[in-house]
Amino acid sequence: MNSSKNVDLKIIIIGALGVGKTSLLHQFVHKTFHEDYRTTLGASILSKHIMVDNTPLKLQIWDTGGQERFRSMVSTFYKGSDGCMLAFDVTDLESFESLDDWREDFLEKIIPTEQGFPMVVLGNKIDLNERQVRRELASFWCKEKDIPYFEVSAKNDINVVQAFETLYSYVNCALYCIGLESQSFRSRPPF
Amino acid sequence: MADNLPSEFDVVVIGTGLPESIIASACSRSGQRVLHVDSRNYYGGNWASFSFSGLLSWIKENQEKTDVRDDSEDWRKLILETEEAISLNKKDNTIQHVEDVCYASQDLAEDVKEAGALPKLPAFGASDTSEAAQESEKECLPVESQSLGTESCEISPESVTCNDPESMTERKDAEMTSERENLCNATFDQSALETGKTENVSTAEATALDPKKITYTQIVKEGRRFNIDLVSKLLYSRGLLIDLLTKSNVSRYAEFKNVTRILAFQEGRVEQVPCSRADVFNSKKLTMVEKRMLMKFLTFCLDYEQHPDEYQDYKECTFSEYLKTQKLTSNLQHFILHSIAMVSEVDSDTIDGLKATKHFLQCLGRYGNTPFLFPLYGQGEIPQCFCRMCAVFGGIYCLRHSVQCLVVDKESGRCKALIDHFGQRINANYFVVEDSYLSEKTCTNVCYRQISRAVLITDQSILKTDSDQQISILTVPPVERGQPAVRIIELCSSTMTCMKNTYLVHFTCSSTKTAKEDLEPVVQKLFSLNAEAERETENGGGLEKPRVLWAVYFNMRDSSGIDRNSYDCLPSNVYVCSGPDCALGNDYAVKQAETLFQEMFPKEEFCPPPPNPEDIIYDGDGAQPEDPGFSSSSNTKTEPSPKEISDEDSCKVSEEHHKE
Repeated sequence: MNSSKNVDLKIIIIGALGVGKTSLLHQFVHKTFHEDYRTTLGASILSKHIMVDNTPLKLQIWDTGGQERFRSMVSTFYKGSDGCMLAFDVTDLESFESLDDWREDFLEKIIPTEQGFPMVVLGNKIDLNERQVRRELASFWCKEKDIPYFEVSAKNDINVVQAFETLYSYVNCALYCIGLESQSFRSRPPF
Repeated sequence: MADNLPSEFDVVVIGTGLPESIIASACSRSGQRVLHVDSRNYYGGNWASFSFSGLLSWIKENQEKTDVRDDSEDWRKLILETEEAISLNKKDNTIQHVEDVCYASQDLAEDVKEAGALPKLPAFGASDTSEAAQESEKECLPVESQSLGTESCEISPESVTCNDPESMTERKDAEMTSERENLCNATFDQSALETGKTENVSTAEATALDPKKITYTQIVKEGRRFNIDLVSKLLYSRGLLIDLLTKSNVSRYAEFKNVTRILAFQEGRVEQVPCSRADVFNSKKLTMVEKRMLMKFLTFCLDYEQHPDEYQDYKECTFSEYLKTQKLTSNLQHFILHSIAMVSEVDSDTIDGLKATKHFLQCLGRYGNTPFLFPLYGQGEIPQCFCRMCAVFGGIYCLRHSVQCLVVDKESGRCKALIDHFGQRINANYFVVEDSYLSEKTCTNVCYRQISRAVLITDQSILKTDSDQQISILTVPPVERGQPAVRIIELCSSTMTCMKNTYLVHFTCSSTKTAKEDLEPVVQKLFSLNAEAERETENGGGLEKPRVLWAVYFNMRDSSGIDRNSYDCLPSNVYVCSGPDCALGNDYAVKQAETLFQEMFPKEEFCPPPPNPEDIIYDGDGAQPEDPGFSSSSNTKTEPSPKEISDEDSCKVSEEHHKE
């Protein structure tokens, strides 16, 4: 592996309004959490350097910018993405039920690949008591689609890192399989 | 879906084309509450780009000129006594004379469908590749293999990395390159995929693989790899749009590739124009004398204002007449007039020409060997980037959202609200409306020009060289003097606008007649329209003409440059944005956006960089900013990797404006 090459992976996070997408990102990148709900303002792309199998990678994680509210995401958001996190709120059944739509929408917008697209599902807010989505239900849905499922809490930092690590490992693995460092165009020239 | 849409905003923007999107982004950035809507289910309006199937739908929609019946006027009940309504358009009328022609062979087989993403995605690590759908080969093959030998760049405020598709190949690890090439060529053996043959990857290795004839079926199947722009433009490396993108950080959302070749068409042949110093010196086509002449003239142009005596006497002449007096062969005059200055032979005077030449030269070498950049995935990305920026600062976005009318207060004459198609009344202080949304009544006195456009999918470059990944611009001078020149931009597959082994060729000129009438003669000069026959040769010189596989022609309204007073009865707080203009660059849209913004909010800064940018690259080793190393030589690659900046901290600043 050419370690002087700085490769970017573009990850997007999608899901209904208010499920905690931004909180999950902030927990992962900044290790912070804010209790009060704010629609995503100003934060749109977070970056983090990570190491996978001694390979330095840079994750570029795109937040939705709030455009999911009326299902008006710009297609720019999807273009060139290498992996996708689907998030829902375990205390909000509707956000889980809409996962199908989000997944379909995503598959429609991206350029198809022969070996599929790395995805993980995150059931967030397990720290709260008013659960509406049972673990088994979510697991079952994910198993049907062969997507790894993680129960997480952005607030208490439960399982967040694992979920991200799994996703970017799969992305990296997929790219290794086909002998390219990155499917996206974000590789920097080695000078 | 619109049931929880707030009803109070500061600014409502109708239409998501480039000028409107820039304005929306500027307003949101300055703390205004913005609602940005579009009646369509896609962004961009006439600035949009489409997949192949998306374009076919667009063509169909514009070819069927169905009359829209007036639906119920229930909304009229929402207008008060003290108010009057200005209806907005029910149907877009900006596109005309759409004609699509398929030249490629069509399989008579079953219904062709666009390849979708797999219905069931295999889990990672799962060896269950049999589940991986019909379309997969037995080996994992890369999709983004258009990356062969190409690089793109990101533009950042501080520094830029840009690469030519071609030179990247030289600089890459040779082993890596050939590995990619092998994989690349293997993937796009589409017929193998279709018939389910499992073609051995290694047999498709030869980089000199003759691309199999591309059929219409393949184009449809690979439809999602196409991003076909309705507008064909480039970004000048020193220009208003680039400046705006870098200043506002919107550049983070997009990537760009260098345009690699400037071409000219003379005596029935396409040739490359040398424009940088290095090009001129290395050119094999210019004589020594010509090289000296060209260098001398271009050097003068670079600061022509310092030598007024050189052109004083010719101020009243056209630039083309001036060139005749300047010790330049007719070959060089052609290059300068049509491919460098790119001004009209009859309409442009000497100063126009000198200015344009100077601008071209100043843009050389900033990012690459030509003055131009092209956005990855096409021009349609740019308005979307601004929309995203607007959203990130609190702007609310609703596609599929039509507006019935604007509501005007009779007494003050100001517009106070709009009524949308759901009957919801939305109040605001400022309204920005794109021209195509205004009713015929409002536009009764407006005289529009038209732009003739053509988009071709072809199988070979108009100028074949060693590398097939070139992005080129060619200006074909008019046959008759006084007619407009035709501007052609040829895009290779690594721009992510077309499938591998094809090119997307855009034609633009200001309209004289229908687009097909204006442009087909030029198409015929450069291309062969008979996909089945043996390749035609030009001038019997053994040069094969590329084949057109598919083409579409259309005329698009040019609403630029219209005096606001031409619109009937528009309240003072309603601002009109125009659709795309005919020029190569995007200056008009940016200027328009800035002007309108300043009219609305004279005290606010236009798209400032987000506050408190902080390096938020988190890693064990700490952030790694690289030192910019700028070389003015146009041959070497210039600035290094961009510094990553997060605009997330700006949420603290704008938050208080966005209570909902």
